[in-house]
Amino acid sequence: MTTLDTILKTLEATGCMVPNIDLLQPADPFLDTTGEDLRRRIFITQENSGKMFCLRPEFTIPVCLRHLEKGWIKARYAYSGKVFRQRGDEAHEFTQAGFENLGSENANDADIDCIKTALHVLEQAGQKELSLVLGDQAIFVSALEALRIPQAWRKKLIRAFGDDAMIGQYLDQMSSRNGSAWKNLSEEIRAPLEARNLETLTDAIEGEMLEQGLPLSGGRTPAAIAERLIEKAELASEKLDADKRAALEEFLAIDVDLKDASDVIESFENKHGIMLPLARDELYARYEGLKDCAEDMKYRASFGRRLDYYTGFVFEVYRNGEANPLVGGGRYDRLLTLLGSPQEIPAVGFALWADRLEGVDV
Amino acid sequence: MSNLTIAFPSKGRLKENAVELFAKAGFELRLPENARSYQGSLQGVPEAGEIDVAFLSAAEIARELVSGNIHAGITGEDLARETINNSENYLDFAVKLGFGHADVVIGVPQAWVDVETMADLDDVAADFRARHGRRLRIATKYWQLTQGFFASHGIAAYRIVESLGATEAAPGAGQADVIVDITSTGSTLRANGLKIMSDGIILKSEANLIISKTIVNQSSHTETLRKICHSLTMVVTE
Repeated sequence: MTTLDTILKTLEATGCMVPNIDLLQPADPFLDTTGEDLRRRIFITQENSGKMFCLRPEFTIPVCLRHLEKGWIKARYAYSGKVFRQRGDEAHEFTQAGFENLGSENANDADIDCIKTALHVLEQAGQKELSLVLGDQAIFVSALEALRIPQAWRKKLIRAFGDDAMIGQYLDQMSSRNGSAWKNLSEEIRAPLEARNLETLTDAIEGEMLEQGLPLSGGRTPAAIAERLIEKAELASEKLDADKRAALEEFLAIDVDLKDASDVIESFENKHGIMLPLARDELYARYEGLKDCAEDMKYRASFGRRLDYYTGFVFEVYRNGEANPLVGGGRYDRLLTLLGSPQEIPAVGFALWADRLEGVDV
Repeated sequence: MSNLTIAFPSKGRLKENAVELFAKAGFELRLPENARSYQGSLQGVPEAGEIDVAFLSAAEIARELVSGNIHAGITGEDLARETINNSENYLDFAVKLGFGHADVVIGVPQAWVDVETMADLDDVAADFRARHGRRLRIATKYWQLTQGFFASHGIAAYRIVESLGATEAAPGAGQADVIVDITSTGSTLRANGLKIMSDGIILKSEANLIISKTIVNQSSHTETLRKICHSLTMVVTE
């Protein structure tokens, strides 16, 4: 039995179905969820009709689409097979195995179960000396709220979460007063803006749109433009306090043993006079649920994935001392709605880089 | 030893301007006797062997440079960068020739009074699906330039709608929200209710003499090309 078979059998034994996922996939669901930039990183081809297909770049989206198609509420899935991505000098074709748990209501239990399943599978595949890193966007969001960062900035920072350089860039922008004085605005726009009169402003923008022959619906509406303009005007005179910025940077620098994580959060709370109950409780629960699962477990506050359907906890499993993870996973509660599900379906899972397993013949 | 080959655009203003500029620099383009032939030669470069001139479509020139079929060519920087991904690796944009000016720009509706910079567009794109149920749509034929520029601003939340003509009309027709297109004065954009953000210029393009980095270089060719570049630079900066 090959290691890949072992991995699949191990997952099946935890109650997973193994769906058949085609190698050739419709490209739109991938491009819609991840964005146009993905086009440069996958292999796209076209049907005579013009419909675009791609070589399977990953399994999660096809598994979710199948789940929706079958109309199931709750299910556990396992998969393995080739995936294809343009990766510069690295091989374009590689093997992934993985696990998805869709529809489980108790998020914390499902998260713990997902990590334990990943570690179990790796152990069955003969991997030792594993270390685990956890992150959680929801904890970052709660810190932004507790520090009373304005909503518009919060959105920007959440978007950049997981990319330290970009967070730094945004913090720089927010720390300097935004001097953009509305020099390009016409009088019809400027007057209601200064009066913060949303209704008159919306009417004025609608007037401009009509004059310029822009459709009033189907895209940005006059009201959406007016709201954002007012939001921007409110922020133009504000700047991020130096101590709030220092607190944010201190938070993002947290990189500790999971065992100590809730204590570290508590002293952060005390130092800055804020409350982060969600963070403290979740980190404690994660530690309680996971202790003894891996020798080395860390919580890193800045760890996240820059995909807007990842909303909460993420994790990676490494073989000690190695730069590339063997497993990457996390919670992606927003994905199934993005793919068209009328109701929210909680989802958590992981992908395993089979080619990185030592001495494995895939 | 194969002859040095330089490609000229096969028709239009770009061709006329190129021939004229070379003439000013003292190089005579000897056109084929048969008007339908696409081969000519270049005279007047001191101590150079025979120089072949190939007439190719402006879009084809970049590809031929990368595949190493020609040594140098004259074409728009926008076309070269659009046709060839990571073009710096394969192409040496040796001389800006001072004609064929066109800016590749992002055109956003003037009525988007809240959008003045790429940072604003980033916010709008990120919120687009939550607010309007679909991604921000960009109409363009410049896929590569658009993707590269948006990626450099950290923006991934959009979809490209391919547009092969009258791109500037796409927002009015409801086919797209913003566009990426070339403009020389911006007047067509303005006439269509679009504006250019302060940092929304993707590329200030003009015709370039481009030298292939992929072709095996013979020292005599390198020397000849150096002389040509030098003379052209003198004429352009005059």
